[in-house]
Amino acid sequence: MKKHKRLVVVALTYLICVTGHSTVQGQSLGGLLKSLSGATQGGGGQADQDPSKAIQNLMKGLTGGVQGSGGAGGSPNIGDIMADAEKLKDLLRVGPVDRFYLGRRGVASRISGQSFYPPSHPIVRYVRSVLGTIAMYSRMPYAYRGYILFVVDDPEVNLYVAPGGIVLVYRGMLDMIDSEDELALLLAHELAHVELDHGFSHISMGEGRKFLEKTTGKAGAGGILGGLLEWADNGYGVDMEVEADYRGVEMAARAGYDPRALVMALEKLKKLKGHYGGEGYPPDRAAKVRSKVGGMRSRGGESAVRLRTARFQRILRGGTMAAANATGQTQATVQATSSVSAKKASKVAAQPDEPDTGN
Amino acid sequence: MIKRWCVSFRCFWERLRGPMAVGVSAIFLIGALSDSATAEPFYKGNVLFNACQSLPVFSEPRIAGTALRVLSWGESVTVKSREEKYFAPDSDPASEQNQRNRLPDNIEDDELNPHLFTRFAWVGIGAGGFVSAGCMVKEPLFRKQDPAIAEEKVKAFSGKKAKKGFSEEEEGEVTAMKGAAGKAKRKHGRTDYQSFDDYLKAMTPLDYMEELAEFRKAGQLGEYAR
Repeated sequence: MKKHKRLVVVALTYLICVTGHSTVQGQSLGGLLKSLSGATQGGGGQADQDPSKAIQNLMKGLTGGVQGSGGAGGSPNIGDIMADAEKLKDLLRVGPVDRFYLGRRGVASRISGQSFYPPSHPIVRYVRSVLGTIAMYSRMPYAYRGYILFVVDDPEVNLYVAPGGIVLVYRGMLDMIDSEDELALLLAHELAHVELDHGFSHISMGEGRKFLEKTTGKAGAGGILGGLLEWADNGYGVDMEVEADYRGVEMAARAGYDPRALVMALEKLKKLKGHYGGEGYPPDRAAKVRSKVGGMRSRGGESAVRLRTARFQRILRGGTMAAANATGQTQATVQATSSVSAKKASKVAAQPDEPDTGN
Repeated sequence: MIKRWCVSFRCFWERLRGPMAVGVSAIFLIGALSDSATAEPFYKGNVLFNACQSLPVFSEPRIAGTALRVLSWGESVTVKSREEKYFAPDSDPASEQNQRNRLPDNIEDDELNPHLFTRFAWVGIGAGGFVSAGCMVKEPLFRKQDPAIAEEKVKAFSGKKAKKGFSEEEEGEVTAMKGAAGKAKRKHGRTDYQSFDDYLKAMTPLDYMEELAEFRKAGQLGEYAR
């Protein structure tokens, strides 16, 4: 509590003495608070805005008689703020089950109307084996229901992870890459997000945003806190992607994969889409990864990379994927909009190929 | 930038109340975010509960060989040791970097709370067994690890957005999905739990350790990397 007390004193001293016209450099939560405590912070920040409306709104709320802009019932007083903070604290205290249900909801909306391969499909089994191998070297090797993988039959070039360890890989991404090591590094990036709890961190920041909007009003959120909120939406996302790239490289290297494969995959992505992921990703992403990789190589050497690449080509290019695509959704993939047909499709698709264990 | 100074009590008081709300909000927000750190801190002697459906126990603090046994849902263990120490990443509200950022520049190390940013990946549970810490929680949190409560929590996370229309309802969850090559985009407005749950039912049991070992061996990975 010592640090909190000091912060309150410093922040209040500053704000009591200074009038409403100041600019705030709010590049981070820390940046916001430093701005509150630093008497001459100003200019060049992300949120060069007038906070006077926020202050006005808060004053009205504290007197309790005037309706503020933050909500239908007027701005809250400090007692309300404390009660809301307590609720937020409880809401943000989550465990494996909460994470799974959060991810389930996100994925259930993402796969709606999409076709995806049944879990018994050789491609799913193969990608899941790569995922499982990387997970062994994660600090979060297990999730509430284990890691769950969907391979979506869609040309979109991407793969995602949701809280709870639910991974979605799109056929477009599998078409773009050329080796198991590239696939492994991309999956390692996703598992790094899980290990680092980025999905939930993002949600926490979103809930923090709602809390601040409620307690200080929209004007407050858009003014004094604008820098923080902008950072939460964009800058924070870039930081997380860099962290996930770096941690993914470490995990994949420990598993024995060649970490340089991430650079290769990113260059292909840039060639195809014109960027390394777009907004929310660093524009020099490949260079950052290359720098992180340094002298790291596949533990099994080049021969092991070739061996795995041959396995990748055999499973994804050697007929299995082509056959699945040729026969269409009814046989090899599941139409997500119909769970009944999905079950039938699963049975049919499970028959033609034995799971490939790479032998 | 200082514009003008207060010379009356009224002016002083009016300026005090607003910033106080901002300050209090910010401080409570920091508290809430820090408390929601990825993993609950745990110590030797703590009793932890398994909040994953099943959790293998290994003879080393890593996935190695065959599991000695499997912890079932809700099974409790006493912490005998903490293994594989690491630190919260900078993106974590409780990280060392974020703690430093929240305090004045002349902060000393003893003012940081290392318990919040120091993590352990594995828990020693005695009798030569180790389990992944990611699945283990303390009793108060375990009591809330219930699907019904979790679903309520999920609704609460997107509650405000839901009022504005269905298309925005799940913005939070979709934003939380982290992609390797761009932001997650939803193609349809519906939430298809049925397909999701059916898919899970069709999944093979997670205990596919032997198959995975064969996979590593063939690909010269992990312990088979030469």
